[in-house]
Amino acid sequence: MEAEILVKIKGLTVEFVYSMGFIKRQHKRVTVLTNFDLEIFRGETLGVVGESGCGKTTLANALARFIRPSAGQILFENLDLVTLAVNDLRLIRRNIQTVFQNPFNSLNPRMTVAQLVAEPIITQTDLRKSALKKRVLELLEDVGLTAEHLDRHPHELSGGQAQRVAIARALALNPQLLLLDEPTSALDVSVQAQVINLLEKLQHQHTLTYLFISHSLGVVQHISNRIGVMYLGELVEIADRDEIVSAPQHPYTKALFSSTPIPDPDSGHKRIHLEGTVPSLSVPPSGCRFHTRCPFVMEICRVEKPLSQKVGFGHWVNCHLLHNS
Amino acid sequence: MAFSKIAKRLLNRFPTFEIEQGSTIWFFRRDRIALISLAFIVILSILAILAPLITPYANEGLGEPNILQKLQTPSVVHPFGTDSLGRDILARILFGARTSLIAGLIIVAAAVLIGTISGAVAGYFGGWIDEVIMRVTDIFLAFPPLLLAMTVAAVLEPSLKNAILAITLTWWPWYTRLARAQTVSVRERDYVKAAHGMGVKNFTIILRHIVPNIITPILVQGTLDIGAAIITVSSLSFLGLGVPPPTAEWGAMVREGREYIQIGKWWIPTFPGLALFLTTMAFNFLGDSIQVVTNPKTRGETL
Amino acid sequence: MAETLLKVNDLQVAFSTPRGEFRAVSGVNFSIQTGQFYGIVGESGCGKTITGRAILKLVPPPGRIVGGQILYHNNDVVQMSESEMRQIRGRCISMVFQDPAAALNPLFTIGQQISAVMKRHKMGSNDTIHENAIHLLNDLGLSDAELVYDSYPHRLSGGMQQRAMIAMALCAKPDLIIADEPTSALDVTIQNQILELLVQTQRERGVTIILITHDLGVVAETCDEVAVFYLGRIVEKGTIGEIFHYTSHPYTKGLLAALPNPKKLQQELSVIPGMIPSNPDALRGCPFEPRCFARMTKCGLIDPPTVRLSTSHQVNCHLFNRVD
Repeated sequence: MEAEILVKIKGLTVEFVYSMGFIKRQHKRVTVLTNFDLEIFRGETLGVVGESGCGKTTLANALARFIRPSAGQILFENLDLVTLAVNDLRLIRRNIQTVFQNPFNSLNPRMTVAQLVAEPIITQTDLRKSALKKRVLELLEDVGLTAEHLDRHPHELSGGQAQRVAIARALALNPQLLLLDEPTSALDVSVQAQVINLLEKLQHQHTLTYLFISHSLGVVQHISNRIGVMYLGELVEIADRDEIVSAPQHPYTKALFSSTPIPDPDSGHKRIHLEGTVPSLSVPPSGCRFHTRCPFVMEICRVEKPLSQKVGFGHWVNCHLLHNS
Repeated sequence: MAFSKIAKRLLNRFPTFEIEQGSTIWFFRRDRIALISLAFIVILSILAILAPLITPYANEGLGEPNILQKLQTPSVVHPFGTDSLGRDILARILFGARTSLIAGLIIVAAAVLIGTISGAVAGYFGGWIDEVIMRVTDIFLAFPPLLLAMTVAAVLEPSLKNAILAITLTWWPWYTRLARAQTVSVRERDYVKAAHGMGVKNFTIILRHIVPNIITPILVQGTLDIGAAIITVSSLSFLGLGVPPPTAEWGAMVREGREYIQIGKWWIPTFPGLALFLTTMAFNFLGDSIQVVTNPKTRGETL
Repeated sequence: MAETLLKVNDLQVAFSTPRGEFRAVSGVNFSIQTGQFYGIVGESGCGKTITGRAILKLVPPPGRIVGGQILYHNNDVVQMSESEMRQIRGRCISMVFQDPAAALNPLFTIGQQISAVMKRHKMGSNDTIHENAIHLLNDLGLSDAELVYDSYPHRLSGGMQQRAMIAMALCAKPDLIIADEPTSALDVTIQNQILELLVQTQRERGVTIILITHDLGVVAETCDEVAVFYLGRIVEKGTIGEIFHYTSHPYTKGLLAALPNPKKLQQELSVIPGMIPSNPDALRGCPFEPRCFARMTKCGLIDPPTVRLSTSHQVNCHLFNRVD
């Protein structure tokens, strides 16, 4: 696999400002992502896992430029998406598309399948009439649907079919990067498998790069080449899939991976029990953000933020424990 | 020969409507009161359109007096009697129906149009656009509707056009509020985000994604309001600020008949009043039914 | 003390829709012993949630129980009146719901909601109730019990809300708790905590638990016995070991195979072809037949028989019908 970098994220910071109070207007600033660095390689599937509040959805939203980061760079094809002008951004958008969690939310219920898949094409190209129809049919066939679905509305489709329409729509402009935000979480297990197999097939066919966000570790472990683990707005560990599954280094990663319910009653594996709940982003813990729940917490963890350390080929961890080895 | 060919072509174009069990129309069909109301409105509309052709007293309907026939009690020749100027009241009611129905529809249509666009724009863009639009809306909402309509109508010369204008001015803010609230909940939906992600322009998003998904409650509200609009127009006319004589208008006819009821000529205000009452009730029932039927949670209630 | 606490016989629940009557549950049989951790597992539309609600007679209209028995300590719940049910709910059988934020009343504090249940079932004076509630919240891992007691639900995190809900379910000391997808709305690490809590509760207080879920992993880790639902019927049931190691029904097999198993990262996930039909009543014979890799002609015509594979293991499938 070529290690060509498709997207380089440097120092990304995303803040949300909440206005509170009626008489005395207060502005609360919550930083969801702080100084975030990440590289996405062309053709890979980068899985991103983490629990609620970790910022993984915000990361996807920032990449898709649904929100404006307050600082940092997102470098794509030598352009910085953060500072790009609105009109140029519109053209770049065809390269980065998103597939959302719930297809019944991401597809306009008033539009037919044909209209939904055609919309990006109409917006960004000059293709019309028979050429347009041909392209739409092509896309539908790619995802396993047929012409009979053209006139249906989303609510007339099953969850799996609707998600396929969403995928077809996302592929309409031949994007290079596909952001998949929990694409199978709203689907039944038996349908989930179909959609995952489809995504893998499409990736081979069209040389796509996937950013696969999910809280379902089983699925992420299955489909990813590399996996990144996020906690409270930071990347705590990132490595090749096989390495991080067999030998996770960060205490949070270990706890997270061991929490996955395994469909095997005899697995008898050791669960790492995490105490307490995830702290609020508005008041993040000092030093290492995970220190409040870490079973291996040391004095230094409360005070100093751990730097990113290389522990193997392509394997980076943010943890003070590794300084000692 | 040619006619039957055209008829066949027309029939082929319109697909046969198989009413799907469980669809909105199916529920509607089960609601007898709503069906009766709809029938009433349809029949009234047809009668109103054909008014000049139906009644032999067309000229009187338009206002021409016939003094010799004045103050006749209801009879075979004049089923609803005649008024103080000898005009056949039934004819006047039919012509008055035109005024009321047209006025009601235009007012609601205009309010819906203005309200939807302003509300959608305010809700979608937020920020200062939202502030400005909503402040203007608030100002208009602060006035008691009838008073504002009266004031505007009094300033301009009384006419149907001005009455409609006056009332529309007081009505659109409600729709703006409704549209804005709907827009705010819809704009966060993923399909709007997806449209952004494709590079669709803002106004296209509003027209293609926002408006079709907020329009149903707005239209429902509109239907409910037609009855109220008709009453408002009639109220204005009753107060002398609406449609000027000699145009037939139910409210004005009631006003005119008020004095005569004291001397026993009961039919002069009663029949127009009854017409007003029945028409408004029909629209209210219809609107009620539409509201229940278009909401998937309450639609079983019509059965 | 292997006494039967709950026995469900041929339960039928139907929904009347304009399109006709729709059977959400058709002929479900299972029995639960005291102190068991029983799992009910299946995908959407399989009738698992409705079954759970039927036990408490909480099936929302237009649904209603149209047949069968639900024997709680040999009393048929189906025949009970609403006032009799009110005695049972909370005191004998209680429920934990999927989304704690939706199930907890946002206008009342946790304390008010718990004490309301206890007062209803006359569990003592106000002071006793308060004390017991605090004790319970503590036991359930809420270290700041007094604070939680006085808090409104939205002030608590998802995990804490769910613990509060479990407290509400436990406070009147029921024999049986029905937990309907209690962890689906929670993060994985919190999910763990809650599941451990349920197991601990069962062990320490002797409460019988029915866990309704779509997640086979959760079932494997917590349950003793499990019933697999598909389209309103049970296709297979047995102990955990039997279901996972001696999987018999093609649907159960397909379900297990479709799961990404972190211990076995294969090339492609195996798939159950087709999808859950939207009009199940039109089907004759076995409901899974259209999607089954092992289907035979008779599967589409005759209802599959219930075949006993062991004292605890049963499967509804023609493949195991030895009478042929």
